[in-house]
Amino acid sequence: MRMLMIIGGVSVAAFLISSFASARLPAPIPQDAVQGKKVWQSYNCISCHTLFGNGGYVADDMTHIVMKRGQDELKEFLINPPVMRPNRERLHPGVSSAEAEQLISYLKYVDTIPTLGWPPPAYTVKGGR
Amino acid sequence: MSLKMARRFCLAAVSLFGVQGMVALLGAAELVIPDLPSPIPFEYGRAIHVNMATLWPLIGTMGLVYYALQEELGRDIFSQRLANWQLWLVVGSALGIYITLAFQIGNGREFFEGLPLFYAGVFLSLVLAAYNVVRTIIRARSNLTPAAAVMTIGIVFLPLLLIPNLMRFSNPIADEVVKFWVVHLWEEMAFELTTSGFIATFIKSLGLAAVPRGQHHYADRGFWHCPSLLLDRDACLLVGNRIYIQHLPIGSGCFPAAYDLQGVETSPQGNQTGKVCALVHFEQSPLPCPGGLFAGISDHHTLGESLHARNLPDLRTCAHGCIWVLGIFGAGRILLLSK
Repeated sequence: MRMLMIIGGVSVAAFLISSFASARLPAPIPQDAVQGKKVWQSYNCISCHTLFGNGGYVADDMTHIVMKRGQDELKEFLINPPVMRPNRERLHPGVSSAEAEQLISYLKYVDTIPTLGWPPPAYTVKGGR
Repeated sequence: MSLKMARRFCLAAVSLFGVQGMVALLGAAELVIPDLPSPIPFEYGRAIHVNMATLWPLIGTMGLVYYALQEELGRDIFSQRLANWQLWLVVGSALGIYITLAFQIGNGREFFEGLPLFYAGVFLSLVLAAYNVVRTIIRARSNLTPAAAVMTIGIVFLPLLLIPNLMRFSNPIADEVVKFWVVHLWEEMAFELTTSGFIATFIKSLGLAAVPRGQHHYADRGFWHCPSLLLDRDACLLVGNRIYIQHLPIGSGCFPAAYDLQGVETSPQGNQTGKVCALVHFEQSPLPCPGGLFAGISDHHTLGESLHARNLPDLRTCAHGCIWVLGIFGAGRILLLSK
């Protein structure tokens, strides 16, 4: 019992110290990207989209979306959202111009994070369409 | 009285599970039927579903531990009143999360979509649970069993792993890391430990293992297999998971897997008492039991998933897959010390 308490206490202390130490490390993230993360969260984007493979699988992964689509196309999409298929009327949630720019800044920052090739490129299964 | 409390937790957990199923069906219907009218948008409905999926196992685990502790130790838990407050606190916090999300008020972090205030309520409830459980085993320390100790470790780690998620991180990697502690470490460490202890208790209550009079704690020796095998299963799943997601070098999983298998082989064989098991294990293992937990948790975080490793993906990958898995085995090794 005593040994259990000692080991438990040491482990917990190490866990807490390392957690708080890491949280204080300088993170070179632009202020616009910080604001963009708040926009990302305020619209609950993670429910449908994924980042680093985590999130909802209803819509596209956003990890490298800036590289794939370009900033102008993304901004147009966010400000004048299109119909979400297979719906005929329901639109993708829209944001203001300022929010769109902040969100794109955040996604640009996310694009710089090394992910070892994730998400994998799309491919067609043999016999599929 | 402990059984009465356990039944209340069970009822709350099963109710949430049932509602979660209905929410899932409604969400699926919205995906299949175009323009289906829904008072709650899909993105918030999914958030409610996900938060139910997180909280019903948590509430069920609390009840499970109270039930199993009473079975293991042969006495009631430390405070029924505290357990009652704890139940209302966690259920109230959960309802707060679901109701505010239904009104499209939230925080937008997957698995933590509700307002942080409500997760603080969940945290407080877990702290009360941990306090209640620790006080219970301290009162019954002369009759402490490995199963009870394992469950206690599991329940103590639940609030600890939740702490960072009460803070706000602007860096997306830090955000993902602390979320990971709940999403995976709750499931694959804390819940596994509580469940392992429960399985041991359950097998004994079924009469599948004899408990000689006066040798209660020695009779648990055979149950090393339960948690150890569960952890081995985790080794396979986790290593496979990491290979798929993060291109983990396959060799990095071999060491922890071999380490754990060695533990399974050495501990139950030919030893008369748990203490001998622990000594044998210390002598034959490449890393002492507490070292596994210490190295696993601290190294995983400081090396593998800290901001230091942001630009060193290879280091992060290896640390993530190898050292962290070792941490789980380290947690399992505390089983031996609890004798």
